[in-house]
Amino acid sequence: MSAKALSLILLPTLQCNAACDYCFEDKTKDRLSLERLAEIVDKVLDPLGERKIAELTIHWQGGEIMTLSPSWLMRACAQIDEAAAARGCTVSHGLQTNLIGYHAGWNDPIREIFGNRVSTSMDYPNLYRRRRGREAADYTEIWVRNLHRARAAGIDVQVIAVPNPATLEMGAERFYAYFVDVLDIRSFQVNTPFPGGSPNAVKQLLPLDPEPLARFYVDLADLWLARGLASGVRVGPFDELLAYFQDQPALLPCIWTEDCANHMISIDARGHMAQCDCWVASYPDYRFGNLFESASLGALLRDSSVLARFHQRPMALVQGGCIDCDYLALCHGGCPVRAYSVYGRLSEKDPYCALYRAVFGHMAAAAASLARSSARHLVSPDPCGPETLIAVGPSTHIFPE
Amino acid sequence: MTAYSIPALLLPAFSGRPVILRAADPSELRGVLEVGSPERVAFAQLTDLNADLTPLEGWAEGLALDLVMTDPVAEHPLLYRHARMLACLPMRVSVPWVPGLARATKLAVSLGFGVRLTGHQPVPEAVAEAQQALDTFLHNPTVDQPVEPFHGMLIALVHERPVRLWSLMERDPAEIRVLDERGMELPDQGPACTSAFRDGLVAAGAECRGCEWLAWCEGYFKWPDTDFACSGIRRLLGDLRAAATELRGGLDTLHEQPEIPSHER
Repeated sequence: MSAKALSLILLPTLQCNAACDYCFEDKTKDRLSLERLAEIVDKVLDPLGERKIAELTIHWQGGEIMTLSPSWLMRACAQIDEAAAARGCTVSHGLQTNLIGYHAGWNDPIREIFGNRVSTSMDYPNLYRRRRGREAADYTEIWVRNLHRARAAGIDVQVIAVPNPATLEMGAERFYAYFVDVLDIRSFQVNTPFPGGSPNAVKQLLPLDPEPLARFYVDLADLWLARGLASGVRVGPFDELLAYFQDQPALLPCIWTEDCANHMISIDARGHMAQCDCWVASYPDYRFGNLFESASLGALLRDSSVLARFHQRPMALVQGGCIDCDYLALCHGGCPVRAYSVYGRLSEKDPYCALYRAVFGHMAAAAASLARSSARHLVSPDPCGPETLIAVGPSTHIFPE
Repeated sequence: MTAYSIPALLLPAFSGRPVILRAADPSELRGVLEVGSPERVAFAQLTDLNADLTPLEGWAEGLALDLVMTDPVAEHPLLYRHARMLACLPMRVSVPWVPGLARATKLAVSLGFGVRLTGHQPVPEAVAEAQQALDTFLHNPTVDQPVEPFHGMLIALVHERPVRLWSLMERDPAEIRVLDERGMELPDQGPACTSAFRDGLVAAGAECRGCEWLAWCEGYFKWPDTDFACSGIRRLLGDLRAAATELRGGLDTLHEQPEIPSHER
């Protein structure tokens, strides 16, 4: 666990009002009670307080979080904040929802707990997001309607989009235009799909061919640089990579960290704990343990042989090809669950390695180009700075996908 | 004031003097610092990279920690175990100037550790790897950590001010004396006086005489074997000078540019 901050992906329910074809979670009817939540919170916060880990970020996910009631979420967050304050910790909350169950009753908790901001998901074209027994178009219609309602209520809606083969065929221009021009989304990020969880016909198409996918990403990055950057539109991961290569603080996705097991855990409604939501919901053999059955979080983490295997992964990868990569500092072999879901082994690097290298190189070049073009406007301070005997750690942070 | 590099357990015997603590076990460091005077500790060195840093977690805020590598080929993956502590401790890795240093340096800076190369008289293979490490330090856009002695020399070259390699490598006995567990000076740490050593080399007609780097190097690479051939090292330093010249040129150009009025931007 990181010595300063921890991200917790909390799945208080494994129920979902959708049945998306590429979802990696095995759904159940389990829901977390407030009493059980209190037990989780105590076990998570106690070691944070002891180890002076002051920052905890809880990413509320599911299942689908809006299958719970707004009042339950309000009570849950109040309970957590009170427990954190008693231990001198700060907790921030983030909400990931499909928006299908959104209604005006959610406005108060979204404003009061989540800073009037939610993150949701939609693809273009949407082929695989749908309600059980319904077509994708039905899902898209509800999602767009609720998107407009939420924004009319003043909520800042950020979108995660996952490309599919039709996206690549259509191209970056139409993709960008759909989100930015048609839906007026000011912040969205593109995530790569992977065949996590139980196999099906759609997942057999994954991973996507990295070559056309890299072309799509590079084209999208160029569109954003040309049209979005100056007008305040944010498109991830390009915006944060640009910041990174401009030597500014960057909030990189969790797939690009030295060892995600240092920064993040996921706990589901049954108390199972694992590396992230995909592991906890769909790969029982890769859970760290069950928090309800353990005396403490510290004991669970200390005794988990699975966690040790996660920590060993980057150590193994760096003895292979990753050490020769120019972007080792950014990626460290990429996402364990993407690797596992494709190759069936933890010890493989991320199947989208070629894509990542193409995107890193492109954004590094973009940052250099922007620096050159703006250099003549600057009278620079000494770029070398004072001599440093021992420098402090990296300035990057991580963000769960 | 001279600092003393001592085994951690000797801390109580060195009252009033700046020290560098060495320990293989983080618990030992914690033990002596809890009762000692941490303000006298310049930094601590962990000499076993297999050690678990948990005892220092949430406790040693601000203690600068140097991870001392002895076998970079075998030990470099172990840096992953310690990277999480970068969030609360300033840390660097001391990498010996032996084959394997390029990979170890690259991984260290990729994880966010500063690096110091250590030792004397590298074999040609290690000099070639140092060239790779220099290239990583100078040109990889993901690297923002110092690699000594490259970082210190680059700054000195850019600003055209002197720097001493013995100091950068932390091997000048006038600045740091390395003691064993009995408090006795360890043998083979370097010449007793670097300036006398330098003068002796020049008087003996070594290749240092007339070397453009003599004022910086002072014969660092001629110890202990004064017959060591420095051609590879001079190429390395030449590349560093070229980079400094390029950087200074860029800075000069930048400073010469008139600022563009905002309405023309």
